[in-house]
Amino acid sequence: MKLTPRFTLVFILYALALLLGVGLLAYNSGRDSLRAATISELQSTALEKEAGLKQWVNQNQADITALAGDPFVINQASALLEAAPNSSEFNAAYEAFLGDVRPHLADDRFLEISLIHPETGQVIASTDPNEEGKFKEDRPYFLIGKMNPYVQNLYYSISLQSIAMTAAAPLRTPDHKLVGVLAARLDLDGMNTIINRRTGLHQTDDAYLVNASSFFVTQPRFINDPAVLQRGIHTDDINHCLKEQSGVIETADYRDVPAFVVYHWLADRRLCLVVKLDQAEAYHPIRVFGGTIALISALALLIAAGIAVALARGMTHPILALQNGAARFANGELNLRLDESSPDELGQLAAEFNRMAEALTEQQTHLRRRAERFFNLTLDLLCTINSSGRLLDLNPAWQQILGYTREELRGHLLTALVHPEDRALTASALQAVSSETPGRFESRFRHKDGGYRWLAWVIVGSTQDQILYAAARDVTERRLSEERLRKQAEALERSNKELEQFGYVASHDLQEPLRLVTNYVQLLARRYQNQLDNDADEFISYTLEGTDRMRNLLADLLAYSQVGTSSKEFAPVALEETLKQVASNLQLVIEANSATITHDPLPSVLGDETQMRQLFQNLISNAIKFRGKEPPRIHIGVNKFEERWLIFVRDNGIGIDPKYTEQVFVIFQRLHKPDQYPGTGIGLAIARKIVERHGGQIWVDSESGKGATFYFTLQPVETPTPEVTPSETTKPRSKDTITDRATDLI
Amino acid sequence: MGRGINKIMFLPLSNSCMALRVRWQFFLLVALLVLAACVQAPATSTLIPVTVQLSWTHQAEFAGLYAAQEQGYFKDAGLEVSFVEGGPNVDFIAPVANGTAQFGIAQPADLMLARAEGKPVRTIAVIYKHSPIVFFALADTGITRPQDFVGKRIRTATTVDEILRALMAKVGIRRDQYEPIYLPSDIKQFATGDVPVWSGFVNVFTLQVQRAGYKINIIYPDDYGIHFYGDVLITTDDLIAKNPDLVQRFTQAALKGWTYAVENPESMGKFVQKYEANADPDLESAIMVASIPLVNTGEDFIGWMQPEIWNGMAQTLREQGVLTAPLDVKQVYTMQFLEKIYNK
Repeated sequence: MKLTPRFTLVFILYALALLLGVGLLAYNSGRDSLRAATISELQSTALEKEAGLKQWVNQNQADITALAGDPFVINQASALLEAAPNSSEFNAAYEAFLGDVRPHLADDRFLEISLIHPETGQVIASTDPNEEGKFKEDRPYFLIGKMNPYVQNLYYSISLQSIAMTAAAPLRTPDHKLVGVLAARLDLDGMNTIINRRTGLHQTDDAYLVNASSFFVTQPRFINDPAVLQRGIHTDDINHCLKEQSGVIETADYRDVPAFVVYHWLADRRLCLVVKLDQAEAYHPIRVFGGTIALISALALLIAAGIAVALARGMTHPILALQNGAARFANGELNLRLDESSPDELGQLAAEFNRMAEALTEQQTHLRRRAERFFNLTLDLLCTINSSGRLLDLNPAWQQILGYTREELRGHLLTALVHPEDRALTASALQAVSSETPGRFESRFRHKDGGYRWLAWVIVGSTQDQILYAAARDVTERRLSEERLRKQAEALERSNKELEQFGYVASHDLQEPLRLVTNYVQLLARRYQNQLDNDADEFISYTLEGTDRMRNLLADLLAYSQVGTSSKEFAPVALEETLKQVASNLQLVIEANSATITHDPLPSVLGDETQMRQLFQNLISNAIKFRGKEPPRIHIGVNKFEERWLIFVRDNGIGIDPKYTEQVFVIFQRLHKPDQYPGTGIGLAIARKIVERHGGQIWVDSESGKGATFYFTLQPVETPTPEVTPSETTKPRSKDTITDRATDLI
Repeated sequence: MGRGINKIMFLPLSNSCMALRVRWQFFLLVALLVLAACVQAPATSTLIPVTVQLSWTHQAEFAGLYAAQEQGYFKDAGLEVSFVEGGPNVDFIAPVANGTAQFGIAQPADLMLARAEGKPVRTIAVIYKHSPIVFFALADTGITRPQDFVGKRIRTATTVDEILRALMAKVGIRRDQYEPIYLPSDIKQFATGDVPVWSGFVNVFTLQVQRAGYKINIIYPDDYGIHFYGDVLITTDDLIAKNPDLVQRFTQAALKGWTYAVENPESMGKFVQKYEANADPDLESAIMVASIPLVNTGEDFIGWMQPEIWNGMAQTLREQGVLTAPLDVKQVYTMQFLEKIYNK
């Protein structure tokens, strides 16, 4: 989330929490106090109405009592009681009575006033003629009214077909004789006015009386049909009230609307007075207040948001400038510097940034100069190549090596400079270059003078900028000398082959004429021995000796040449076994010379079994042959030498003068006269040829008179094949070197 | 009971781990079953069939009973109530007395006579606290009080006669000073004026006459010391002794129905129509409106009775020579159910 919205959000949330807390607190306390105020208002209304009702009843009772105490009225009643009906006295008293009481109807307090016979309960006289003659003998107001002034609760009058309320008082003469009951039907408007009187402050306030049978006694405001004594009410407040309790309750009113209800049980009237107000209205001010709070809060929040945004902007603007600057700097605008005029931390930050930029720029300039210096200094060709293979930057070495100026080459395809024969290779090598593995190849490039130079390339790619970084070295000289060497090696190989062929052909083909010569000279010697002169015999003998030696020489030569032409596959050879056979072959010589042969445990090697036998035989017989005065002691030992077996044959013979240690391996080279040590001098030459054919080396370490040690190396059987060993790169190379060296030696 | 069952079922199960898991589900199941049984018990298995013998054909006179039925008060009380219509020439006390019906609607006079004859019937609540029987005459006849009946033909009927006699006696008019005549309730005949004074139920025939547009003066016997109850709710001593709970439940539901009828008179038309398809719902509702002051006088609880009234009625009947056999008035009614209902 970005800084500005986050900052704004936090600010607003904080403000919201604050406003919400304060608002709720204010709202709740307002609501509570409003509730308390409403209830106390309802209470006081209820008390006022209760008092009003009581006063109204008392007033009525007092009025009827006063009227019943009027001596004139008592007299008329007494007269009416005494007189016979329809008598003149009766009529006079009747008129007088009505004349006395009728004025009391004027103030609308009483609707009707009747005089009831104290014994029969019959109405003797009434302001309502219809009432006269009726019997009230069972009415409570009559029964109680005979004794005390009494106001009967609201009841339903069948004959009036309406509700009624009647006050009554006994009419007593001064001597306490009951002469009648004065009953007055009350005008209920008075009561209704008291109960229904409203403060005018509210809309949903209501007050009503309910009798002990749960019926309305006054009309509730929100029932349109006549409800008095027709509608029951069974709300919680009434249920409580009719248990003769008073109190306050928050409950649904008769409309099922939540209301505050104050109920008073009027014990003396046995009525329940209820005063109520809808909760919705009671709480209306707090709703309005809540609305105002919400509005103010919203406004405050809006302002807070505005301030927050402005503050955040003020803060983020320089940060954004800084960010922008950093981004531009990163993109290469190195001389970009920020405004550090701001006196606060942001200004410091900008200054710090500028310092860093300065340092970075300096460092980069330094690095670039260094790189440029090296770039210009190096003897190798350096360049960058774009993705389409065109040259970008080149160093001065290009001019020195290929003769072109850098400007001439820049933008040209690299492959355009390549020798036509190498172009395909170069192109595919360039294609294969990746950032992980550098591409290496060598190809010829045209010099400005028209010649070609061999260049060895190393190229790496860069995934970042799609550019190839290339370095090349002029290897023309090496390539030429390699070429030369290759040609020489080829020539040498050829001549070696010819020589070998020649040796074989010579030794083989020369044997035939030699045999012919030998045969005929022997025939000559046999047939003409002693028939010719001594000289002739001597000559013949010399000839025979010569042919003999020649035959030996030819045989050896043939053997020597055959070493190189054997086509036998190399196979494991157990040298222990080979040595055993050799010892057996040489048994006579060994015994004759009293020679002792010891050996280390010998390994198996890879080779030509026959040639191995010959190798050991040649070396051992050589050691016996050049014995000193002591009986020969020969030891065959084994060592590891560079992944090969180094085998040596040590003797205690006459030794070899170190200056001849190389010569002893040359064919037909002899250090001694044949009569001193017989042989053609082929043995060691064959040994060397065998060892070298097996990829090994042979040499001798010796001094005159101190014995000699012949060393040679052989390939072990268990030499792992190049494909499976981890050290594959080293072994073939060492083998190669050895081969190479062998080639050189040939 | 449910708790007991739970214990018995769970003790052996709670030994194993499995049972613990099952336990809640079992508890739930058992609880549901018990709950279902409790809820359903009054609704199906233990609904007690109750028959109410009405004193007339279906009409708004019995509105409170219909209300109790339609509002489900009877059912809530575990009662399956059916109504049996009465009518002309039907003895509607006999079925109650012989147990065919458990409850009945009767006139107090008939009840007291039956009781005096030894039938063990008793009032448990009063429906109409004032007898609906009134006398009326066209306004222009000037007849406004019983004293004016002298020398007049007066329409009477079996249920009316005792009241007529008592009323006349009360105002000191002898039988030979007026001419009682037995007639059906017929507006046309009333309109002819041949019979100037008519009797009728204030909430039925009188109402019909008024609704027909005739201006009439109504003379209430109640105004002249004739305090008769109208319909009362009766049952037998036997049922009260053997199953007071049933009587209590029925009485309470019936009075609740009457309270509903008083408070919702406009609904009674359609209730009546459910029992009497030919009824005019407007008229029936109007009857109920007219009946409200009879049922709810504003002085007592609905159904409440006063001994003086019973004594007064018995006395009146004796004075009229209707009731001749000895009768202990206290056996005619009982307050035990009303007192329980209203906690008095």
